[in-house]
Amino acid sequence: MNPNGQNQLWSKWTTKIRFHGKGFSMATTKDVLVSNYRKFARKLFGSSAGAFEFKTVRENGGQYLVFVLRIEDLDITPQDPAYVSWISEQSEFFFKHAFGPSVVVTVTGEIMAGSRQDGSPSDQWIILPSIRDLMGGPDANV
Amino acid sequence: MRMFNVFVIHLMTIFFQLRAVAGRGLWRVCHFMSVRRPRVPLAVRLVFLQGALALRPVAGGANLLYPIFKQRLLDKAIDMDTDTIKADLCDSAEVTYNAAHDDHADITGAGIVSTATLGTLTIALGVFDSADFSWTAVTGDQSEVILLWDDTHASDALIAFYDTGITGMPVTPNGGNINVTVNASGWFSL
Repeated sequence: MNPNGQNQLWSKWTTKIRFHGKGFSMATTKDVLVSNYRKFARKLFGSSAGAFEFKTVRENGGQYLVFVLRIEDLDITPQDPAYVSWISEQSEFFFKHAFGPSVVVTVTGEIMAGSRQDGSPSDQWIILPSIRDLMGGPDANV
Repeated sequence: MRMFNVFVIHLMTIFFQLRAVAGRGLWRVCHFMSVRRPRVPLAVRLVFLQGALALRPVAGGANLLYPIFKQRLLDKAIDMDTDTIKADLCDSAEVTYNAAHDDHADITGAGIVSTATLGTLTIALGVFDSADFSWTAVTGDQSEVILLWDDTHASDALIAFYDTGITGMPVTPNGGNINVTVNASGWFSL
């Protein structure tokens, strides 16, 4: 995969859900949650919904669920505030319906590779491997 | 009454042993009934494992931790989650891996295309990780290498060298940002 080819626009969408107060319920498993979010993302972004990551993060004394989507599609435009706002509204509706009204949903979209369409040079994107240094053996790449 | 309690405990023990054997499957039962596999002494198995690791081809080959980094880490000279850790984007025509390199000054300045400071450094169970980052408004030579180093260390210790298996490399700077996604398994694990 070369994400830096011409006529490509790779974007990263991060959805953070914070459980706030007592007005939420989480009567589901991680698998169900991930599966439902996949379906939702496919409807939201179209069939282009791509690489997906889910994690729980503890930050500033709070527990967050974080969904990260990386998508290649010229029609998905994180540089357009109206589009980002629409994605935020849809995500908020989805997660409040799932977890209850007191969850706080934050959606951010950013360009990883491609043109911002503002006259500035295109962004480029690289993805790092990881080194696994084995006991007494050679270094290996993951 | 006491005898009865002992009897019940014996019965329960036998029941759980039978259940455990049944749960292991047929081959395990055969094994239990003395159809034994040949046993290889632990020392021999360790020698085989070591040999297999040494002979195993390293995928891509050259993403490496600097030997001096390991020494400095053991010597408490580097603290990976409180020091200022930086990443250089480099041109492989001028920056190559050399196990004898130990300080950032060993890398020729012309080969360094851009430098960024890493944020949200974490170490957990031997894995060093950071947040994704960007080199901003990058110009210069086509680049193939990423160099990790410690800016807090008195001699700017080199940490790791990456030139293999990097998606999106080689990258030709165009004046725009180069965004970097750190591997889900972190920069490296020990």
